[in-house]
Amino acid sequence: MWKKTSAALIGGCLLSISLTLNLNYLLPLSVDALLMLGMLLAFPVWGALMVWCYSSSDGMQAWKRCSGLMTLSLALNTVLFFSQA
Amino acid sequence: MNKEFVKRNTEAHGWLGLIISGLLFVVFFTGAISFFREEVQLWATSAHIESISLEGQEIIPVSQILEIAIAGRDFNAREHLTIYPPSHLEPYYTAYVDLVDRGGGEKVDALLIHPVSGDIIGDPNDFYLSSFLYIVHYSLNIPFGSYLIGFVALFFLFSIFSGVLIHAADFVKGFFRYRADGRKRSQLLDLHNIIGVISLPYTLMFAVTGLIFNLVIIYQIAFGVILYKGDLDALLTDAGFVTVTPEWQDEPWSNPPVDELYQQSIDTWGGVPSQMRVYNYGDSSAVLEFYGPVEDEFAGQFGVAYNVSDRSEVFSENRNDPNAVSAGLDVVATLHYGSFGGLGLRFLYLILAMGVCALIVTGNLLWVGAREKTMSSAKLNFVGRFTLASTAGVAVATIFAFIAERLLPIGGYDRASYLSYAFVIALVSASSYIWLAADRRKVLVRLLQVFTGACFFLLFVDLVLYPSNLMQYVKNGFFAPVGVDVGILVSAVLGAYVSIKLQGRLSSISNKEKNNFAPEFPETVN
Repeated sequence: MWKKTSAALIGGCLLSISLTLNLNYLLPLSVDALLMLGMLLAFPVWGALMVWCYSSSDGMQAWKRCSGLMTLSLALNTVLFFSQA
Repeated sequence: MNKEFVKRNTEAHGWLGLIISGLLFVVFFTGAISFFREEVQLWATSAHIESISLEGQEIIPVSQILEIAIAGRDFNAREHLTIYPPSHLEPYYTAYVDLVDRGGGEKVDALLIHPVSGDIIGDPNDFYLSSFLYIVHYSLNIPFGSYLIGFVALFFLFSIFSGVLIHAADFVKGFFRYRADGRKRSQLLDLHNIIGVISLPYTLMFAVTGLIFNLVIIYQIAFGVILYKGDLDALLTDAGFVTVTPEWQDEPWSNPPVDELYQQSIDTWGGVPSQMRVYNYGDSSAVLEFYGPVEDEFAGQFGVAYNVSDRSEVFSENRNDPNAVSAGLDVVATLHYGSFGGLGLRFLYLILAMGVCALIVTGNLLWVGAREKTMSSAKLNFVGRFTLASTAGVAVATIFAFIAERLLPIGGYDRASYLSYAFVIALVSASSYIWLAADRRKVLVRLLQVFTGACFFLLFVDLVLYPSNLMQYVKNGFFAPVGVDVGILVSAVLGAYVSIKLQGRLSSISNKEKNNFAPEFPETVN
């Protein structure tokens, strides 16, 4: 349970930041609307990722799930960051 | 739904729900009372400050109130002078005067000012109860408590999501199911599910808005570092936050149009400012800032600041194209505080908050029930006592804080701290009793009796010591103090009813035990 919790808290937090950052880069909205949208979506996304982590068979699987999705999301973050710099 | 998925989430739902249950109960219980924060504040002042009628009376303009507030004080004009005008719930001007720092840190004088005579009639900080309960609600009144409560809200959000998924297959069919004739565990489960489903939009809203209030700093830092490359000021500007920092000119102002600008803000936005702040008071660089509700708008809040010298605007909300973050946060706050639907909505919020308290207690009882055969009795005993301390103990501590607010004398000492001590001492005493007593069933009944007795004692104090004050408030159109007393009376009657019922069950159980019958009342608390 502790390993799942660490994945849910740390992995979930980092992933939610990364995913909402991608939305921020991709959606054609004004900057204030993007900030508000990020703030509103980030916590439900984190909560949903927690459910995903706790439904894993063990802590290792929870971390693997987070890491897999994090790799994809971070790659997109990097591409968008440098393409919009 | 995959069985393993449901099983694992049920396990996490139970454990995490149990871990956060104590703090979550505190949050919802004190939060429920905080929906009536202004009413409780007026109830507190009603015993010590006489009511006044504002009908047909000429109220002193804000420019004079500013002068009254700083007269004879070591006022630091380069800091702020903040005024809260009278409202339908607070008949006085409240002023906060920043004093010159003579070592020992910044100090602020807080004043209640009579709106007709201009007399200083008290210190708002002396009446700490409503603020204390509100602070406990969002931060437990401890350092870093707001982050702790933020994480409680996060686990609460997880519990809501996992609860919906666990219950999803039975969501529609089981919505109205309550097996009154079923086993005790079935009854608890049905109660837990029914309350959970009915309060779902409410709990979801509270979890998300609470998280935005307490943990948004995580995303603020992340967005600031990545999107704004560390320029947090730029992030705050984009989010619509404006900081007023006028430069001191060392030239006295002449004919400052304070009252005209106050009226101008009312005329422009249609609502009386709930807060007015003056920067660089008395200097030609002075700025007047107003915040308040916009009339006839859902979650409408205005903010505007004027340069006193030439009446130009320093900043103003753009009514036609408001900043999405500041407007969005106004909506978040309005939803969270239930300030958009009047008194009726706040009562609905109160009932739902009490429903969530019941959701927490039934959840803990279900957790215990599910492990009665597999877990040691010492552990289950601990959970039972923990549940009692964090629910009945908190209720008893809260009513003792009310008693302290009523009975502590005014002036000459740190009254607010003593009120906090009363809450803590009552909570520690109740918890000690819960931990030391042999029979948890009796403990619950005794705590309910103490709660009921304390409620009746409070009413007795109000009726005997302050009847004329209360009547005067009613006569002048301020019903809040009597309304709070009615709330205390309802709590007392409910507490008496439940304790009498439980006492009856206890007696019948002990009679059966004397006659060598097996006990029907389980050791778990209900």
